[in-house]
Amino acid sequence: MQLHNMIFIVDDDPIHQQIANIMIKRQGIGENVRAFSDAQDVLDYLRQYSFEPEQLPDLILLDLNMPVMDGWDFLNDYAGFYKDLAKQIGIFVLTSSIDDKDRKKVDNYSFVKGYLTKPLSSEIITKLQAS
Amino acid sequence: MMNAIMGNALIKLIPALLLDLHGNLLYVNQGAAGWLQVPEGEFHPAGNISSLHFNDVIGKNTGVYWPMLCHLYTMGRSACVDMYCHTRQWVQWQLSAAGEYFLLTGTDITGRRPLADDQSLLRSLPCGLQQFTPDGIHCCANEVQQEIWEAIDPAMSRPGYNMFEEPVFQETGLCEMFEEVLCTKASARKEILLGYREHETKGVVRILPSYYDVTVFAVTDEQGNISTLQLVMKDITERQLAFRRLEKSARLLDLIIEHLPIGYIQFDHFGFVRRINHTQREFFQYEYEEGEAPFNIMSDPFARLYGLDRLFKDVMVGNKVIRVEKQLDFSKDSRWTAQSREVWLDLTLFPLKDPVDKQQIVAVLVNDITDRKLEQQMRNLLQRNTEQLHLFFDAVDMGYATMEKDGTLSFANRKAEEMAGRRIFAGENIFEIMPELGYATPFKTRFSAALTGTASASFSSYFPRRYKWYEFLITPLRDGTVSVFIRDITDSRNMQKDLFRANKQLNKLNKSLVNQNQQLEDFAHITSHNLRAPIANLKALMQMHNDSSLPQEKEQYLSLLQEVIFKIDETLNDLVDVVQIRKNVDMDREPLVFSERLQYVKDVLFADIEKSGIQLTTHFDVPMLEFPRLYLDSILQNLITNAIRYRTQERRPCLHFMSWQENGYTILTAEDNGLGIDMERFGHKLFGFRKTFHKNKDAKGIGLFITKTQVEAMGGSIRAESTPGQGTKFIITFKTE
Repeated sequence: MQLHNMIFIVDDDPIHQQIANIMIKRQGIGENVRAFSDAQDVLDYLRQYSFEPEQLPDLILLDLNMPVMDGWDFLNDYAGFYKDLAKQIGIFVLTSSIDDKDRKKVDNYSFVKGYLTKPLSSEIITKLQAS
Repeated sequence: MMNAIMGNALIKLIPALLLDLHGNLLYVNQGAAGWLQVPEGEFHPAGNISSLHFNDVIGKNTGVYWPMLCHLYTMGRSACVDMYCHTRQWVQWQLSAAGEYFLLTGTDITGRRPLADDQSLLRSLPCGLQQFTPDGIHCCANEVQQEIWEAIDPAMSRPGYNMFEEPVFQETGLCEMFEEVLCTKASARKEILLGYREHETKGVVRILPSYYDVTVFAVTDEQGNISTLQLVMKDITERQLAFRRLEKSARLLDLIIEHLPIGYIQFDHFGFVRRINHTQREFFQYEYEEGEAPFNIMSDPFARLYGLDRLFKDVMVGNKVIRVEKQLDFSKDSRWTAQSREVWLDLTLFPLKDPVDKQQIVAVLVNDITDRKLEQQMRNLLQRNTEQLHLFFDAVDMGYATMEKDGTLSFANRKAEEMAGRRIFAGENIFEIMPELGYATPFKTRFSAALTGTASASFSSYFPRRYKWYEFLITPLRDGTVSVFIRDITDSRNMQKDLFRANKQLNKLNKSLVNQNQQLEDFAHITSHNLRAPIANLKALMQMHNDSSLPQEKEQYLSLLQEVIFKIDETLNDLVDVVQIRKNVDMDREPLVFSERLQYVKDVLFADIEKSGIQLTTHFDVPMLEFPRLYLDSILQNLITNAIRYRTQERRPCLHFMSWQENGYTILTAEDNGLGIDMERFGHKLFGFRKTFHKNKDAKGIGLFITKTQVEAMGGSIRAESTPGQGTKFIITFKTE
């Protein structure tokens, strides 16, 4: 079992943030869980610590449907600089959308490791752990 | 005895007859038998049935019968009778008694007999006789001759007149005749025009020529010297004139034939060409060469090829006139004609009796009818073509008519007649047959317009009395006539109209379906994102709640559950609002005054407006709008709320409303000086359900969505223009009815 040092939750829904936080901690796959409501903040953070691997998260759970900057904006921006990051970050899209179009669109981003649909469950957390 | 011998001797010399007292012949001697043409010898009147009587042989020929002669004898007169007998001798029979018999002795008195009484002979001569001296001096003339001269020149029969000195006669040739006779001593005969006579008929005096048959001969004495010159003249003017007239008419006929405007060929009894007139020579372009054997219709190969020999024979044998039209190809004959082409000839052959030879001949009249025939063929062809064309036009399911520019019809096909509702005859006028096409009608106007151009003009016209739509194609033809096609397009027009209507409905339906589909899709999207998310949270929380054994944790989860349920309720309420709007497409419109509604909304939002200090200005060019009041209030409220919510702290917030008319639509704009929005990034989501673009806590992403739904439900549209940091302008286009 691999322990993820740091996990970011990017979602504007505060309840989801809490649920995710609790479940991740309960499953024990990561200790350091941080929630972001604004995807822009995450990008800023990543750029800031791009050369400090210990500051970078191991895993990002990204929601698609968010105000101001949505998941797609984030992915497009991230695609431009992820290769320069000092650490390989596992990005999972975690959304309530079960639209197939969204799933296929996500496939275009090679660095996204999986497309997960809410609700977050112990099975999904286990999957994250496996990655 | 001596007497008897003498008697016998005399009997033999002198022709004599012995008769009985009744005049029966008893004996005829040789001489008398010759003159009287009776047998010589004795006759026995008593028993002989062939007895002859004086009356039979002499009385009959002289008119002096036996009783008459006997009477003369008994009266003591000279009983003799002169008889001209077949030997061309004059014989005088002298009656004398011989005992109980009579004796007739014949004497040849031819030499002694005077010709006639000179005076009476001359007088009764049916021609003029005049005697001249050899010097040409007039001696005497009979009455006829004097009358002749009287008519011409009386001087000629006066004593002492010298014919040789008369200049007229030298001209006429009479003098020449006298000189000729003087010279040759033989007679001369000539027909001479001696002069002219006046002839009066019915008050008109005509000068007629006087022709005479003139004979001149010389009378000679025993020595052969000319003693007198005799002139015999006979008036032959009548005969001569008749002859001249005949000659003239013959010559005229000849000329007529020669210059006849049709060809004339005359064949002799054997089929040889004897005469060809000028026209025919021209036609044949044939020059006769000296010594060439003439054309023979019975043996010429070309004539036989076309059966002209049979034709000739038919006329000759049947003695009848034949008239035929023949097509001859003269290129097959090179000998008789240079006409090397095919011609049509109208031939009339008729038999004639040659007035001289009394033989049957044939005359042929030739008329070149090639042009006429070709024209006729052309006309037939044209006629056939026209008929075919007319048949074709009858078969076409379109009215067709040709007419003059004034509308006088020359042809109308069956369909056109059906349209007119009656038979149409050439020469009728279309505007009289169908008055609805006439003066001041669209057809007449278009028809006249089409005539000025050269290209076809097509238009359709409605005839309300017939409930018909007709399409016309008017083509001015080069010959000045006009061809008109008429098509009944009522059905297609109606179909077109129906189709148009159906299409319109379909379009509307389609639009509404697309709209509904879009809405469904939107709804699916909304449910997928906005409903699924909280439900997923519910699910997760329930799971966590169930999995937890700690009462403290359970309580925490339940409070979170409550929060989620509240949110779901809120979202569902919003959605219900939207669905309600969309359902009520046919909301009642009412006339609304912009400024009034704005005042109402301002009152509702009084607190917010005061707190934000926003300045509201208006410029309503169009003051009114027919719209559901609830919607307009909602729209105005959302626009004001938006302007307040997304105002900037940098300046005093302002919102300016404007309305105007554009292309039949009423436009309403609301322009603020707030934060603005990055249209490039968020333009597509601006009016989306629960879409927010600001980190503003109040942003729920529902106002503009509702506004858009309300505008669209009433057939309008909304869009936005914005520059981040400067402000946003919303432009609403209302559909007005």
